[in-house]
Amino acid sequence: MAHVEVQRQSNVTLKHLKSKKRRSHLGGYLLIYLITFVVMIPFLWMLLLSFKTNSEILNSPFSLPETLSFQNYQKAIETLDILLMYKNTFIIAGITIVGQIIITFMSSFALSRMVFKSKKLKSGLNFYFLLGLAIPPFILLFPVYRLTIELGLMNTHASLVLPYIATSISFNSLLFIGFLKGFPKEIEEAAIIDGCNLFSLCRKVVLPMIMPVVATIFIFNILYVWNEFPFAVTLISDESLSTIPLGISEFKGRWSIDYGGIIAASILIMIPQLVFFGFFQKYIIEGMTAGAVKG
Amino acid sequence: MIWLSKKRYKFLMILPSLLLYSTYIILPIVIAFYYSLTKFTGIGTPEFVGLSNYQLLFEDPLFWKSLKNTIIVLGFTIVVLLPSSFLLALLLNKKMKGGNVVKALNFAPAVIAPILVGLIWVFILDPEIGFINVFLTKIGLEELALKWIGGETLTPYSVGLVESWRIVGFIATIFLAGLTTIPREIYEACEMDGATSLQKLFFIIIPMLNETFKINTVLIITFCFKIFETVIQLTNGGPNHLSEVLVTYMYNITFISSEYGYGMAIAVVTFVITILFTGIYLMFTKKEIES
Amino acid sequence: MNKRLVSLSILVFLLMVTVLGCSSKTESTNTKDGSKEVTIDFAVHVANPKDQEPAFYQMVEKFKEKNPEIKINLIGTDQKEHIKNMKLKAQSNTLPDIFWILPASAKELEEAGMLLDLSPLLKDKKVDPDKFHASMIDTYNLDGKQYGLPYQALVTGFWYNKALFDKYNLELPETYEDLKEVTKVFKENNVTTIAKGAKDPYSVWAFLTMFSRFGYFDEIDQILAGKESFNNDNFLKLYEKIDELAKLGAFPPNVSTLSYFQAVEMFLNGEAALLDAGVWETQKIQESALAKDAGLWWGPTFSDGVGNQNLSSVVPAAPLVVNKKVKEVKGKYAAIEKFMEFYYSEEGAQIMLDNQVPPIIKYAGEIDRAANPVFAKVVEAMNDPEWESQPNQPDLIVSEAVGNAIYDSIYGVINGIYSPKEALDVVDKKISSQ
Repeated sequence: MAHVEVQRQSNVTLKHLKSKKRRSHLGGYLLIYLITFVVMIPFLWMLLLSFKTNSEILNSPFSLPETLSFQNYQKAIETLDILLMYKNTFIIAGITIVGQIIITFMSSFALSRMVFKSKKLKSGLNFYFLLGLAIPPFILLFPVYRLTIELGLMNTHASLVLPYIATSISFNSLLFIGFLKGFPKEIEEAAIIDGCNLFSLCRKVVLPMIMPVVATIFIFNILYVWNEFPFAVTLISDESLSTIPLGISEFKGRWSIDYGGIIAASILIMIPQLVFFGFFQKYIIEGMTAGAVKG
Repeated sequence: MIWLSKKRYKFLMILPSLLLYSTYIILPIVIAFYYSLTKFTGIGTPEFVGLSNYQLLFEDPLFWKSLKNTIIVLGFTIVVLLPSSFLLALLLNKKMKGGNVVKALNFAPAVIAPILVGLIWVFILDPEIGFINVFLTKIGLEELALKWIGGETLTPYSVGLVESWRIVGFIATIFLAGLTTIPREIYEACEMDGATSLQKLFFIIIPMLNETFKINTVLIITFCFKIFETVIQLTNGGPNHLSEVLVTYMYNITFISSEYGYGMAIAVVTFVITILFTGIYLMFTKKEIES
Repeated sequence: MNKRLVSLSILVFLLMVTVLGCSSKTESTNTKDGSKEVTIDFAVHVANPKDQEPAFYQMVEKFKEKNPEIKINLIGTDQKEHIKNMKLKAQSNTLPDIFWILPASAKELEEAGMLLDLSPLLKDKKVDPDKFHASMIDTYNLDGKQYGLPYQALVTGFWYNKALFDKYNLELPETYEDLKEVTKVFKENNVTTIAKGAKDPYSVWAFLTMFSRFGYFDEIDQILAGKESFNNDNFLKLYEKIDELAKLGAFPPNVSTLSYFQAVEMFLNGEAALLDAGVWETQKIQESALAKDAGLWWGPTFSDGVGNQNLSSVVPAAPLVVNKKVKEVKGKYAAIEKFMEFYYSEEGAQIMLDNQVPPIIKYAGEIDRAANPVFAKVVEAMNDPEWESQPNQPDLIVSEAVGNAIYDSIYGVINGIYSPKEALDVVDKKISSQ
């Protein structure tokens, strides 16, 4: 999207291609709107369900709601301390993401750009960092719980921040190393000749150029933290520290489920995520093009 | 670069990740392996039983069934997801009205709580009350109204479909990040040369995204081996564990049946199989590039 | 220049350490030795006790009101997670003071020496054992040590919808033969006889009671000891009947994808004549259109069964257990004693009654018949002198692994995945691997 803008400003010779392009683009637009609609059907349907009573949801899921009742939303807001949950989630997500991007960028930069005498050590470490992707969920729970107690972190934000950062390392390394590998050597060398040290090379030259990757990592991990349940339910028992995903389980009894409440609550939880996603993606990509032009 | 590659720097750069990762991720695998050699309900003292859990595993038909199901889910998901998410990313890469909204919306399924993903898709896939079969029966195609879930064979494919729907926006976003790192000059150069869109796609974009394709394939493979909630919500592994995948089977054994030792044996084997699959894929692609 | 890098990594570490440091400080302000005030950590199996376990919640509130010096820190977690958490905590010796737990795990905790012996409470008559229904107390007694007391009474069976039976001129069934006959009629009229959902394998309560009508409690010790087989003639008879019911179309056609919650909705919606469930659905049924027509049936009797066929199911639910460590903190044990005394008192029983939960102790109490007709009928069925309760629910006296294998075997036959023999072998195999 942004590159088209750049083209328009800089390249007059492309003008004659434009009208032809537009026509072919039209089909593309229609296609993308159609796909989006198909992807969204279950979601829209969920929106519809959120206005129904629990038994309507289970008995006649396809019908339109009889009345436009906001009861589920009212109940969700009454049951959950949504502001507190947002606050906790924001704190945890914020620290987690800043922490993980710094440390995984550092390690990935070292493993992709820096020179190792032993090739084996380098690829060995590379492989080691990717192992985490293969870890089946749940086997971390017992050990992490133990570790949290040993470190005296039980019922603190840090009890979640550390495992969240740790679990993101593999994914981040995969992305960072993958994209950093393709980073042009010449730019790097030019910067070093210009007198850049390691820190300023990373900060002023490399980081701006791989902003899309940082953005991707940023978005994924914030959503991961936003939706993570197994660690949160295991490590947080103090209600004042409860995070958003814990809210959903408030509607599940031993032998009953309040689907209406769950749907309403999760819509309340999702909307900020989608707004965030749309907003952030735009912001980052614009920042990226600006950085690239300067660099 | 060699100028800046002092040992001390490298060490400092890697240390924080290494430390955190080793204690929180690698250590638990070692611990899981230890427990897999014991008989343990989760309470009291584990009793060391050597490799007997692994022996039990190889004789357990449900383990093989869940492995088979996992591989079906994996195969189906790769075939469906890789092309569709790439196509989606290509389309999303164009400038259009409401582009960011569209991007966000395609991402929406990834943020729906799993319990609702289950609820919604059961209403679509259920053989009796599900939308698909009700629709098929209405238009007179009853013979096509199969047991999408709840039968003995089709559930893994349905799981693959639901998972593809769930993460198509996710994978497309990574492709999109890849597309945006392709230098503009390259597009411009080949447009000047009069390359058609298809030529551009096959000779420029796809080769340039080689690394992105690799990343996404690795992500999909490891992701499929971790699928859990969708199966739990769609069928809960039923009927009678026939639609169980590795992780749900492990969860069932470990936490529902309280056979912790045996559950950890399944976990360790799952871990090894995931690495094998990923490793084989990476080796395969490496060779291809070299040749 | 390179100093920056060093300082950056130090900064990251410091950041983490401060986060850890700060947050652990807030933890330690929770002083436990306040001279008078005592705080009890109480962990239960639902995330939102106020809405999901109202009887229990109100009891806690009432207790707090009466004992302002005792604070109760209620930790509610969804059941699956709760059980997992308790095991984690047992591993690291950080169990809460008092908590709900499944029977098999409770026994394991006792064997690991982590639970407090509650028998002094019974001896002092603070909790009067004579007031309890039979077997409520003994279930959680191991070698004279009382390691737990039932959280509630677990009352299960088939809910029936009398209106549907009337509609097709059918009598409520009593024997298995009756059940077969009504199934045939319902099937012809496209009505589900028994609403069930295999997606929640534990939802087999009425069928567990049927085990007791085939001599389960006479045989199970021998079976678990490996001296007899689960695949025996009596159990086979039962499984062949389940198979027969399945083939007659007694269960919903999509039973394998239905959840228990959907099964309940089916019943409430008048689409099924019977629902395999328990007394916890009372309120829902009372609030539904079925309020006039619904009641609880203990399930069919069998002419070829073993022993007393008039078996109801009023058994101890999972126990509340107390962490052994409460004795180490001044005042905590006394507070817990007080709570138990209140929980099993008549006052407590009345709060349960008010919430349509049958009390654990023998207590007639007051039930508003006009307002709670369904609940009144349930209590009536519980007190019917012609019916005697099975001593326990069959799955609750075996390990969780075997219990789950029993569920699987029943649903395996209902789903048509296992033949009766195969199903029984599944349980046998699990027993032998224990």
